[in-house]
Amino acid sequence: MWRHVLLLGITMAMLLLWRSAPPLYQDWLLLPLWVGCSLLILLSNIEMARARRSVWLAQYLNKDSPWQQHLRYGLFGVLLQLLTSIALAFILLIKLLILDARLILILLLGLPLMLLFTPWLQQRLSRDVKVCYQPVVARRLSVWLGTLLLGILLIAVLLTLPQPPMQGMGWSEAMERYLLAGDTPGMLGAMIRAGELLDLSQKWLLQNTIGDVQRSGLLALLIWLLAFSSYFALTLALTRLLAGAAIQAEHWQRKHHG
Amino acid sequence: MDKSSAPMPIQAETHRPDTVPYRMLLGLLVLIIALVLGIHTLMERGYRSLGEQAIDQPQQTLLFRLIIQGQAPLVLDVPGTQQFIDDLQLHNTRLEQAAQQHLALWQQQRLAQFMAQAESPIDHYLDWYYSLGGSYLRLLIAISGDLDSLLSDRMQRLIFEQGGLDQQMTRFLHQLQRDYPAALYDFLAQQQAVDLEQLTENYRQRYPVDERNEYTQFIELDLRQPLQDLFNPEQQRFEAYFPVAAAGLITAPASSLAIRYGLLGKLRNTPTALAASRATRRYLSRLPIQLSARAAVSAQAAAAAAPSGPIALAIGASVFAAGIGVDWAMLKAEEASYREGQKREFLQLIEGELQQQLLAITQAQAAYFQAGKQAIDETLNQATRQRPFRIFQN
Repeated sequence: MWRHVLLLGITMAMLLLWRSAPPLYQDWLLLPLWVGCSLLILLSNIEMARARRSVWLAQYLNKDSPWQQHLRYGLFGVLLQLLTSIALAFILLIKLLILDARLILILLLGLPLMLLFTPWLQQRLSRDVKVCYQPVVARRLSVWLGTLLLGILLIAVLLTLPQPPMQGMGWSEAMERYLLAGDTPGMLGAMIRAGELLDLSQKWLLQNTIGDVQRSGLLALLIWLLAFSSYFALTLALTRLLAGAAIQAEHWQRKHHG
Repeated sequence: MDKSSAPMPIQAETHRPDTVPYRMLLGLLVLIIALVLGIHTLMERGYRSLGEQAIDQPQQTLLFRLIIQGQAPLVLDVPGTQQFIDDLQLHNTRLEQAAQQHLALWQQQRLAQFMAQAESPIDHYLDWYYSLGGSYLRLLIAISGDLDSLLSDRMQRLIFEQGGLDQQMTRFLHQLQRDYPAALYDFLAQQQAVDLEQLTENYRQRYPVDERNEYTQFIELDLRQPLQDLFNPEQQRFEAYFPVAAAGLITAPASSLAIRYGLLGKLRNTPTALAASRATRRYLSRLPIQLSARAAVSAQAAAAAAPSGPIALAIGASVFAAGIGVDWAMLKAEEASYREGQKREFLQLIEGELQQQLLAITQAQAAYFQAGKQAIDETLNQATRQRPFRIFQN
């Protein structure tokens, strides 16, 4: 258990430290962090994909069929997951830099989710789920639950936060006024600005077409919810990352016990 | 799909599925590093080439368009606008001081008119005070006890109720408060229009701005409402600035102002009023001695002349009465010397009390101007800092 706490704690702490680091260090540390996050996310992605595939195959194929071998999750799938993980890790890192400091607190909730909720869930599943699949199923469930829960929390807070007023403004005018110059150098800075540009553009579009709840009623709420749903990508990446760290911790534990 | 990888034993359901390819982990790590590096270099290169292509766009200029009633919009840059608002506020402060001087004079004229009316109720009271009946009554009450409460009661009745001073004071204050905003408006209307036009014209010439620049962004600063509010004091808005005590004066039913202000006690305690009643008391304190002295004289006279019977008694009584009468005349003379002073002091006291009330109006005017100037500042603030957009308007 302490391995879990240590590894997940280190992962989260690295992210937060990087977020609060001076811009120059952020730029330097981007690559190692990106690689590390991609790897952890990949671990969790592959675990889920493989488990799903093997269960699916076991439904239809005999145990000794050669198709079991041909159809199992192989290199092609792993490569696909690799690209997804790299993209998810990138989204996670950039969003983390853009995100309001208040919302970071919500992301911290991912830690207790993975450290307390998952073991509890595994224990609840022990009566119904086959032993070999218990950790996988528990992790998978808590990843989805965590993604939804953290996402909903994030969006609930985001819906109440004030936005820069852009109603009636032209797009370029709004961008010029509200897009921060930022002090992060190089490509990372450009990426941050690109992320903010997307965010602002989305808000500009919705402020000018949909407006607030008073103006457009429930439709506005629905569309704002959709607009904010990009934050689910962030929470998905985060929970996957933590799940990956948990997998790694479990692996060490198993190796240690032989 | 993947035929190249080594055949693996088919997973038994009781065994843990080999979900994570730890054998491939190192290879995957290398792959990730290669991919991340590749993507990063691509993006870096793209960013560089974008940076080289980027053309320096001209800086946008920010201009304020000030809208002032009855004039063409005044276009100023940011420092010019700040300067203009500062000057406008300075102008308002000067105007306020001028208005205060002007209206203080106006108030004093009204007060002087009122004080001329106030003389007759006070005369009414003093007439009673120095009348024969009044003097005897005072003497009687002074002997028997509470002279103060008698005087308070008579003042309340004769000056404030029968004399009508209470009603007059209330009406006076009411009228003054009612007429004040109009008088203020008259004064402001004379002064303000010309001055404001001059100020605007000054700025128009001092800060000529090129409005046709393509990259100009205008911020509208609508000063019509705050200026309108400041220079057209309507009754109700002006009243909002009265302190609570004075505001009550307008709305409360005309209860006795004399009691409310504690006027009776103050009137009783003016120096001359005290001196006058002291004269009564002094006379009173001498009375027993005089009475016994007169009695002794009449007794001696009776003994010397030695008439007997009712004549002696009559002589004694008349000597006694004559003695008291002389003293009485002296008392009247002493009191009469106080009458003018008492009247003057009464009038001063009432005037002082009314001055206090007028002060409330002056304070209201200060608060009114303060709020007006704040509204102008607030307009500038709002124009530069818009309210944030909220999805749930609250």
